[in-house]
Amino acid sequence: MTDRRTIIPFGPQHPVLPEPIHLDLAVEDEHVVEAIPSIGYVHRGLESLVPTRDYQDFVFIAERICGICSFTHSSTYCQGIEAMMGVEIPERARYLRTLWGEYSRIHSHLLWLGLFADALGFESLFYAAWKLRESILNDLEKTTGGRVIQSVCKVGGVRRDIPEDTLSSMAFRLDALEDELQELTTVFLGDYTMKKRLCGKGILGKEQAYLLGAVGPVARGSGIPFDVRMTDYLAYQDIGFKPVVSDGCDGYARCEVRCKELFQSVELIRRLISDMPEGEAAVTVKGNPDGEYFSRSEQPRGEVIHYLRGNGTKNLVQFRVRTPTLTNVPALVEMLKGCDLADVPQIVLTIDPCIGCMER
Amino acid sequence: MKMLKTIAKQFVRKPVTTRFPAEPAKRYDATRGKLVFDPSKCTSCTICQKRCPSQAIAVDKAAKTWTIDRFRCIICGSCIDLCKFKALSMDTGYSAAATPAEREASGKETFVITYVKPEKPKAAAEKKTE
Amino acid sequence: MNPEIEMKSVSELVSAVEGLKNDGCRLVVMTCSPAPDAYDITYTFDKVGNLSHIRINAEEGAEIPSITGVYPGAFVYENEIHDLYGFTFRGLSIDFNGTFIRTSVPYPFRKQAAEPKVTKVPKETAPQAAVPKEVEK
Repeated sequence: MTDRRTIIPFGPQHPVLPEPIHLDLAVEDEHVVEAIPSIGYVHRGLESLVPTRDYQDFVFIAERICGICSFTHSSTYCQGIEAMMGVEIPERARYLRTLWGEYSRIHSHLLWLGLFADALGFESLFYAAWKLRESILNDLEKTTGGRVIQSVCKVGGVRRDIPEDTLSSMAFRLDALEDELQELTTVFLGDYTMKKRLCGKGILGKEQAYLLGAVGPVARGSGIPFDVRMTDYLAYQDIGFKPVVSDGCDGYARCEVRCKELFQSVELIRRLISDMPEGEAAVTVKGNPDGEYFSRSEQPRGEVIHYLRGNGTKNLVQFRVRTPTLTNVPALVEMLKGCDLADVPQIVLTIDPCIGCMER
Repeated sequence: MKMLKTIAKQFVRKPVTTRFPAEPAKRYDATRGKLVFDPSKCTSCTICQKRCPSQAIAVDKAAKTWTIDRFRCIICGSCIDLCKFKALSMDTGYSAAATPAEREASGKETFVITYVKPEKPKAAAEKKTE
Repeated sequence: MNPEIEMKSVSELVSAVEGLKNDGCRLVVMTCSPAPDAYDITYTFDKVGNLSHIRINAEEGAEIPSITGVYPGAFVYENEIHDLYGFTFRGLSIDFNGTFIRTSVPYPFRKQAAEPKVTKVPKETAPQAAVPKEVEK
């Protein structure tokens, strides 16, 4: 039996991969029996910059860990510093952070849907998804000044406020967007080709997902109702939140979770806009952080952990980020066992890999 | 039926994309494009140099120059918030991309600070008494 | 506001982790950080949205029992800590032998290697050295 086994390298450069990850696939005939991941092509050592930068300026570097979930990284970092220093941020700042966080979730999921369609060879769907993403990016640029790197969080609140009339026009545009999203997701979830390529592929059982520490849409696609937004952070408790869960445990379920989260985010943004409290958008912060804190929040890809440790000086001592992709890698290895070689690219994409984020 | 509607839409609708180099890129008032320096307001306090996350700014107090490396700058706008003398502001236009050779040649921009410290009224008063 | 962290010795680590697993916890992250004396390795677990932590203290280069037998997904963290800090994990299920994260400097996050390991512009020399050049032009 052993002589039938062949090792096929997959990546680091591969048409479906926007970023480099390498997998050694042990195949028997056309079936993958084992996959061994290997990363480290884009390790930048951002975490080790922390002793050389002021903790308030490091927000901008923390934001650049990832180009897609940038906003969540900066808000998680700020949240950690604020918790260490005991700073209470204004209500409006909490709502605004939640709002931008949800906007970046829509933008990230649409990006993923587009890339996914592209990986399956469905080019026109890719264009359709990215066309919708553009209107989200426009709103982000209008309100924050940046399309993907918003640089709008700071320790103690947010750097920009959104005027009321812009908020209402954003809500108006979301209504139009929702109809188009409906059209787009019908194709993703109802199309024959998509179903054929997704249903029953890349199976990850519920217990296994929990044991391997899967997070985000990967865990929720396997029936685990866990989302950091259920815990008390930002404004999610005020506006009410229920995670989107699917029991399919396959690639289709993960795609379904992301599609439904788009509508959930639109709904959350509407509630945020209607409940937006008045007041200041930031408080001034004095002093230096001391102690340690595990800050976490829900990125588009899942739960992110920022570990911060300060010693009472203006530079932090230690900063460590655990991004969702890193913890989804063991789950990916599990999914790949027993699949067909031809399904490998799209199974890799169903975890929404963000390698730059994963290696910092 | 739905498909017919979509096809009909394709004929009447304008293209979603813009013809970028021919048409200017879309921008908003908030867009962070490029850092603008006003040499007449800078007091060489060097706060921008100290707090720049990407260490793109260099201020030379003796030579009275303010230098920015345009390709190190991450346009976060942190220095604009920090500058007490409002010497920095943001322009909405993006700077163009460049090759490594061009970066070497024109990446760094140096401004000569023309700020003149206004005489303090107190000092002026003292002079008069002399 | 510091999190509550339970200190454990290296020998009781695996049994403590097993206890947490039977309790229904999910492994969230393993964090290694330089402490005043040696290093702290913190294991973070989650149960229905609440975090709990276990911490061990380890000397540089020490051998630590792997928890991949309990949580198979821990191999990514253990390999990462091995590659960045140089700890050895006994009984690792998938051992990359230092090729999980490829760095040009071995064990870049170790304490003594803290200074020149990153490609950064030194704060004092580089920007100011650049200024005279511009002026000469």
